Amino acid sequence: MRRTLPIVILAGTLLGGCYPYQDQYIEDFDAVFTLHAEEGIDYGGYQTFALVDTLYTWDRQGELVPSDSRFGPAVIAELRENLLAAGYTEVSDPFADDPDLVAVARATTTTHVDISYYYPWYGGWYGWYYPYYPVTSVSSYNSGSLVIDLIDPDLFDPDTEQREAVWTMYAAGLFEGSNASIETRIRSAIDQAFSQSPYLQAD
Amino acid sequence: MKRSILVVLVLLASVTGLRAQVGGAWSFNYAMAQPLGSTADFTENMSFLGFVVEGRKFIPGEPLTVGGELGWQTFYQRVEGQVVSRPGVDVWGTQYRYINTFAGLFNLKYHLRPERMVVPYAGIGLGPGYVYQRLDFGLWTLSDDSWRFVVRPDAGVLIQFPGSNMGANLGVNYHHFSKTKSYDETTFVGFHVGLSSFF
Repeated sequence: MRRTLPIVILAGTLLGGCYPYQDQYIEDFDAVFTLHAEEGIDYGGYQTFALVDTLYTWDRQGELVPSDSRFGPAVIAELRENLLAAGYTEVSDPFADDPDLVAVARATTTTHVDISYYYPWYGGWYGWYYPYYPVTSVSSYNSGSLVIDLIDPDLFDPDTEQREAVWTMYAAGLFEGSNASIETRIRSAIDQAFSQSPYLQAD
Repeated sequence: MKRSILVVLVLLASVTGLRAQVGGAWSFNYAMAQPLGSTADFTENMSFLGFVVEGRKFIPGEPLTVGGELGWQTFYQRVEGQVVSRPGVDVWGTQYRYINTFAGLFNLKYHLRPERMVVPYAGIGLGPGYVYQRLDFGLWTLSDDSWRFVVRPDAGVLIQFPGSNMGANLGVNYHHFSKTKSYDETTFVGFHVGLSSFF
């Protein structure tokens, strides 16, 4: 025991020291990606937009369906606010006014479950031993992702028969915490996406 | 600063007395390090997490020792709110960056006046090293580990405590882990302070 203890302490110190920072805040897991065209797209040339005012999600078959998320209105409101701040004008009738851009938002959440087994060692008067059955540790967390596309209706790909997005935001993070904090982080992620895309500015 | 340290070492070496010739020493050192070059581009913070265990043995009649050592140093940095841009994509998030280095080196050291209680030395260590580099970003982790070849010149001073076979070991070194296909060389200047046991 006397010989083992210093080794255990040293090993613990070294292993703990290998990763001295631990994630401490839920916000630390947030990430925002924005994808855009390097050339061929004049973002300043777009003047008007239409906003699909429903948040979508994927069903079990992978089809897009309207989401019943409580955060849908916040996503739509924050997206509209940023597009207007970028100088784009929202059309009143998306079908009659032929908007330059169409904004669509999709979101999903996923539950991750980690199950791990380990054999803790116990000390006793007859030496070290470990239990026959492993100790099971179960942990779970929810992650969420939000995707926003800005689609140019005039860019139609005849091969896929789909219109093309000229800008995409992908935000991901832990879907944990109070509803108020989640909504704040969602709004911050959308703000961040526009902040790191200064080319989204109407001339 | 460097000049002051040199002056102190020279004074110590000149005023201290003689001692019986020792066969060698074991040293257990706490290590700090400042990353350099591309290593500093990844983690620029000074590392206060390191440890080196070292043994050296005198070649009879020579001021030279041969020996070996095992060393570990961890660099880390939290980078908040940085946008990383690549063609067609910009990424924002909090990053946790880690570099763990391990080195197992053979060393050769020259000692100035090894019969004194205070013995300046300079040497070089060569051998295999292992570098584990990791970037935690959002929900993702990118990591890379690789074996490298390490060149590590160093200089320092052994100070034997009066009437004891124990002493102190102070030194400075430069670590160079060779580059790989994926990563540039890993380099840092290290400082160590520790206890030595003479035999």
